[in-house]
Amino acid sequence: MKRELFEIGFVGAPNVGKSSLFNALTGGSAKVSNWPGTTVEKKTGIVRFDGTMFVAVDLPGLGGFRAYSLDERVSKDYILRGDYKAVVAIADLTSLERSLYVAIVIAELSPRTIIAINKIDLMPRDVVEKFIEYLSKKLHTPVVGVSALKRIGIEVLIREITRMAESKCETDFSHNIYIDYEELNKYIDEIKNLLEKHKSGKEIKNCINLRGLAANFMTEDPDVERFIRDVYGAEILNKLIEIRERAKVETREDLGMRIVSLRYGFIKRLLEESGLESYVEKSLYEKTLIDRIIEAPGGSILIFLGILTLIFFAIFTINTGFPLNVIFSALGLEEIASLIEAYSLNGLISAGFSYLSEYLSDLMTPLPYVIKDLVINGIVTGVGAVISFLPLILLVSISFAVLEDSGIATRLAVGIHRTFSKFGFSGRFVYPMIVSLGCNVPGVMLSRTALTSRERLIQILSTPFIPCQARLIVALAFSQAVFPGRPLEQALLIVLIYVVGFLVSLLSGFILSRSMLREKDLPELIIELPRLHRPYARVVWWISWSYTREFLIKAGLVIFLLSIVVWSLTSFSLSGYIGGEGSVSESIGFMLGSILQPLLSLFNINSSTAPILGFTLIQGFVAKEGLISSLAIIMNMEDPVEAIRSLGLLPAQAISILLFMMLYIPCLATVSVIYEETKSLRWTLFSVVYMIIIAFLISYTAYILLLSLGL
Amino acid sequence: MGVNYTSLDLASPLKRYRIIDIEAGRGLREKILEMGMTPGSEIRVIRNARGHIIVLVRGVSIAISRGIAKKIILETLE
Repeated sequence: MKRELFEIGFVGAPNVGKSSLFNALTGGSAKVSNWPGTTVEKKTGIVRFDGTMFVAVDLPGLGGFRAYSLDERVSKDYILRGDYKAVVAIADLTSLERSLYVAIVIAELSPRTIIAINKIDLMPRDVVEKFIEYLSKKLHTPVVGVSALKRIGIEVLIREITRMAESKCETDFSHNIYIDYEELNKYIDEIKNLLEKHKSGKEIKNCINLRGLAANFMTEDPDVERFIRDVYGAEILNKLIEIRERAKVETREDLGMRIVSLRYGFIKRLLEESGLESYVEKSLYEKTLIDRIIEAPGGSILIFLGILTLIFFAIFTINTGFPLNVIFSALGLEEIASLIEAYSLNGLISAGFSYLSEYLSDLMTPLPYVIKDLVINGIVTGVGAVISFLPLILLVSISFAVLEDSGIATRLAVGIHRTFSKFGFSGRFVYPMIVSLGCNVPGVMLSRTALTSRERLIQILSTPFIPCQARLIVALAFSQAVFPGRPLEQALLIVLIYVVGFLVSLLSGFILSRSMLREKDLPELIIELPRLHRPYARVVWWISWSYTREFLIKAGLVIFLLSIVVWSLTSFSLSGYIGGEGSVSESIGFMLGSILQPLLSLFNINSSTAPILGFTLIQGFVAKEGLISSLAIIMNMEDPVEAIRSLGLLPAQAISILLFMMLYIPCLATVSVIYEETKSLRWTLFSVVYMIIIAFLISYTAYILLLSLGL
Repeated sequence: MGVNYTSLDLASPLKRYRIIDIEAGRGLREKILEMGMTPGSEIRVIRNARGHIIVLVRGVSIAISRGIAKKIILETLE
């Protein structure tokens, strides 16, 4: 028998450790989807404990109840309309005044609120216990002390959730939390009474406390007004607005400001009377070494460049074994050097897959060739492509998670904001930039941290210019083909590619913000800084694994399916299967490639080479590493470097074509994520065309320049 | 004239301040208020850097870019 599981919402102010608590409860097994009709991420997980089972919903962080961002509005909507049995509002023992504000606003609205005070391991147990008891009595709301990291109080919280879920929704709210709104009380009560008289029955589903609803209505919150209109109708809403207008005239107060002030006053008194010594960490006043560096002129940019360089070298080492192979060969240990080159992480993976191909090929000897071909060159290649990305994605995700959990990432974003805002980005663009070095797919997804939808769109459109790992593989092959045996020139070309990629991405922000935004809308930043601390291994793992898994699901599937499509395009001509002995130049894919001939002729590429390059450019659209693997297939050579060399391109042609390949289009996995994030076919298409145009302008300029230099 | 007004972007880490008003538009104003920067509350400037100001309000440090800081009106105490 399948039992309907009930839902529990988890909500809280920023930096209270909401995600940690959510992960501690669900064991990090969250499922990620989108909230209906939005691109806001929805995380749900199943909690199983001692015969209890329920669905936990991780609601986006809430700074208050006047939702500012799209994410916050989702949480708010859930509190008002969601189908939950309880809401766990999380507060932080180390910043009670601020975090209780959010918890109390929610408790005031929903009597099904449980307040969880996180980080209780930082204070003596008896002090915490006394405080929790006091708070629970004063707020008429269940309060539980927990420590998500030390796993304290989790059982008590689950028991409290179960108890709440089994209890009936009360219609008498007189035992609920009561905030004294002083001179506004009489208006709030008038509104409450009017709502009570016209009870439609609809609002009882989540048992919203009508006094809390009335107080939020007084703040002129448009979302609350809409909610009241939906439930009670426009006529009642108009009557309420009359009462509010009267309150404005009679009290001469700014109602919203007054209500927020009174709530904070309520909390301040509550804390003063509790006798709890306010816990203020010294680190709030003291500058740490990290603060000093970030604040020094140009410091944050230096740190940012340092992080980028470190990640760049990690990518390099994973793919090539460099610089270890060079060190060993300099020491005269040539054998070890070549071993490292063969067994770099990527070397190992590709060795594994070619072994698998051989094994499968032997196994399938009795089967028709076309099936064997599909399995080995289509499916195994596809899986291999996805797997070869995993180590790097995980590595970049881990570095990102360390920055994020320690609180450095937020400070970096703040420090770099001034520089980035000149390009139309807020400081938050550092997140997508760092992650994109591994793969653009999670980079585009990170645009969600933007404050406004326009800023977000600019980020989404500019992110795919950042060279990802796949493009590094292409650049490596080209650099070796263009400058054989000249490591210095090779390295310079690689650096040039990265510098161009980042500059174009920044420039793109500049162009887009100047054409889409007015001056006064330039990105601003207001953000609560988390305390700096050593990252917790468990939290780092949760963050990085959730990114890696999202990559596997989103990009993995696309890359895998498209590998099969590419195999089909290269293995079939219009008259049928040509794999095995037939030549690729008869295939459908090759025919498509010759469409690009006119473009390539601008680079003076002759008519026999142009369709080959055209074909690889189409392959590269599918997945960037396809740019060189397909070249190798067409030229019928194992080594892609040899394949590029045998095209007989001039250095000027090769370098400008390489630049074009680096910038010309987001790969299909990225395109699908751009669509997911913008939910707009128009902007997705724009992104593709926009990149092609920019790539052409830059590579053609480079070609002319390089020619004049005599290359 | 004992009372001395300034906006947050001009505030110094050496003095104590009280918030008087938030002159931002709807939405942003509510966000600032709900972060705890309500009129009458004390605010401490931890740092006034070139691009942003870091303040301490109700036990939380908040980074605010200059454009927004201009809209937060303070009264100098002492």
